[in-house]
Amino acid sequence: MRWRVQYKKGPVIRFLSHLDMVRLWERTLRRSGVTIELSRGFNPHLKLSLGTVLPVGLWGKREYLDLELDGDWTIDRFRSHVSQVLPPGIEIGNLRDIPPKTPALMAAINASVYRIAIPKAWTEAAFGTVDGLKQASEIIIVRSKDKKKTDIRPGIIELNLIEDRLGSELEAVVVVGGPQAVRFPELVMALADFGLPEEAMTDYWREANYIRDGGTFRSPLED
Amino acid sequence: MLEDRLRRILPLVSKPARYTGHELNMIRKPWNEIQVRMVFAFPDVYEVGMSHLGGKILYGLINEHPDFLMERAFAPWPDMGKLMREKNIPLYSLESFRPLKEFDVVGFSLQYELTYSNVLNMLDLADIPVLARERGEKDPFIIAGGPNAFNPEPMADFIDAFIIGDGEDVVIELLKNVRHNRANSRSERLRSLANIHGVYVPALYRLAYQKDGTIAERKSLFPEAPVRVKRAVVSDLDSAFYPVNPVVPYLGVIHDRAVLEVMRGCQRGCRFCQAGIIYRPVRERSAGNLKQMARDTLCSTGFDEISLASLSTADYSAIDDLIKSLVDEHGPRGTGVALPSLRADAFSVGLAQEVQRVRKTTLTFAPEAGTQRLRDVINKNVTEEDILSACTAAFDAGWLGIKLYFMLGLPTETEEDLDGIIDLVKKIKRLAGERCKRSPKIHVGLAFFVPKPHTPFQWEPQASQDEMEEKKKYILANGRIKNVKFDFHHSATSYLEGIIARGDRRLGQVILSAWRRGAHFDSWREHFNPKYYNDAMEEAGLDPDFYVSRKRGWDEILPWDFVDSGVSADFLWEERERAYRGEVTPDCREEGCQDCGICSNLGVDLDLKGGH
Repeated sequence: MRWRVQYKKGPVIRFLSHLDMVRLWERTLRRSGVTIELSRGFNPHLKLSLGTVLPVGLWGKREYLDLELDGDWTIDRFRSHVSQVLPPGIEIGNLRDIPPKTPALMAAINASVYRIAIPKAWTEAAFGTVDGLKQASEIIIVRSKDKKKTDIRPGIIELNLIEDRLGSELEAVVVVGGPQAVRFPELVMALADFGLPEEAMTDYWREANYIRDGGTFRSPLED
Repeated sequence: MLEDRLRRILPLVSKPARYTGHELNMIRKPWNEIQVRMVFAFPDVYEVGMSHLGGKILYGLINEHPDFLMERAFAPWPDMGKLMREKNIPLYSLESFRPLKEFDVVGFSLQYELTYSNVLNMLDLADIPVLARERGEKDPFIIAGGPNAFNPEPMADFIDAFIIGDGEDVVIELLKNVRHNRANSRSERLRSLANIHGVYVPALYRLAYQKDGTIAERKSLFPEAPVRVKRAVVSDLDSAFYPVNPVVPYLGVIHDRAVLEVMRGCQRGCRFCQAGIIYRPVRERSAGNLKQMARDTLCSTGFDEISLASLSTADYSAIDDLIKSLVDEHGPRGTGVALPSLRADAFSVGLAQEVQRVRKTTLTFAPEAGTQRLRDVINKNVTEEDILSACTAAFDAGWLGIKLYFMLGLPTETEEDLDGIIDLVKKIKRLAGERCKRSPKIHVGLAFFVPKPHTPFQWEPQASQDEMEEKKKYILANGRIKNVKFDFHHSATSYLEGIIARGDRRLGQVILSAWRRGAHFDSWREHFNPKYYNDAMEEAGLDPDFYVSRKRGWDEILPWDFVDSGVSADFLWEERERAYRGEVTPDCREEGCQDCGICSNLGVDLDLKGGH
């Protein structure tokens, strides 16, 4: 039985790496008593896989996890077992069973939404930054992994600034996976180049992950 | 808010999750409702400190007490330490993010000499005076425990009080004492601490030295300060507190598994081994309790491995039953059992095979010396036949990796003993060739012998650094064997360890000066710079060879003589004599009492659950 679970990685555990998150889920599921299938081999592991890597330092509102259950479990029973043993910062959202052949999360998710909180004092500047980036025909940054100059403009799908009482939130929808992928630190670099430095960001997180098909976006929980 | 400031700097450091707390099973008690607050400070990085069993025990034990709390702090890695200084962030606890200065007691665990500079660095990062005598009325008490408290003198300048021996009962007494004497002056409070059994307060003593550098006299300055400080001991381990809901780190730490302390102490009597003396006598937990502890710990942590910890787990009297039932109960869900300390004999391999039903691991044996003669000198009661039959059994059972540990520079060692190591490894390699389809990996670890206080070799000279390097060269030149990897300890590290291990109070100024020159994380090769210590020794007018290469006599007052481990000096000296005669001393569990003095001295007894 294959299931897909949506969860929140809260701010208190934002500095956990992808590997730490895998470990966190393995231990949580072992504590919960929910029976998960084991991989074969000398080092049996629980069969579970996480969605696209959330960079260290970011928290995530809607992250995803696939797992293979052993035995009959209902959504309510699963939820009540797991919610009793969750570590600080983790909350479980929607979940459902998925067909066995559903493509893995890592391959399916191809767009992410990042949000950056900006205080009032910087909101004016942030509007300029967003306009500048939108009008730019190319956005060249130096990639941290190989020091190569890269144009990340094709990977930025959407850019918005939402003003609120405390300041504003900058929302960026970007491509994940494949040659056009934009990593979060690259986005931060581009924002800095266009007038919004990192010290102007009071918080940042990943708001959502999507499976994008042309102009339509659907959540990994939708058919 | 400290946590907000940290969010800004943590993206800039390696492994930021070391510094953010909020782990599963972390205990954060309401600060204002607590009478005495203590922080457990481990002078190494998070991953090392979180693997330490003693800290888990004290954390659970103290937090169970309604009036006390214990939080945790670890040595920040140099990148983080530097940023904390730049940004004026004091060393804080991971539970409530409070500066260490706000606690009543800061307790360091001293496991290894090369972490001492980190103790100073952590105090300084916490804005607490590193020198005990410079601390004021409002500063916390800085205490220390762990195996290295059995020679506390090199750290006497920095530590207000040492806990010597098993900490479980003493630490609670100490916190009660702190609560009771709150209104008194710091010096009155210190003197009161000295009344507690197992507590040593160095400021209450004065040392005088002879012209040759040895100790002339050790004087107790106050009636509260006992001439000898007797070690504390938990006589009934089975009923002692054990933490079944330890903090579960998010990061991969060194020992990332559930730990069961099956027993404390080891009666084998290896003559180089300090733990074999200072944790005597053997006290076991019952298999029934251990099985329940395993169940509870797995349930509260979600670990997928249980480690049976002790100095020599194969010696646990009910080991067969324990392993079998743990594997039966937890194996089907993919939970493995780890045996960290196996003897090189076929019995141990049998146990390992039992464990192997679930999970493949590497087997580790420690013959320690290459010839029977030298193994008899150190009282390592293992024969070549034992070792070879253990390896045969391991290869037959399908193990493809074996680790062998040896020591170089043991007393009376000659070239023949070095040849013996190479010959033994060759024999094992040949066995592997005959028994295994694929060529197995043989890994040989070689450490340099460092004589330790409270052992029969406490009077013996240690090999000089040149001698260590020569031995290493000899092994490398004569021991080229295909598919065998030799791995040596760092000789400069072993040399410094030797200086401090048997050091006296005068080393305080050396440690202080080395730290001021930049020493920290000395146990990490990339950060260790022996020059800091060489310069500091020279500045202090001290000769390293006085501590390392000198043979001590029976009459000499050793810096740690006043620490009463319970084992008599006569016994240690007699063991030393027997070593030189090549005579072995049997295990008292099998051959009757060998008169080490521990049981009568401490009023305890061997506690074997499976019977003698």
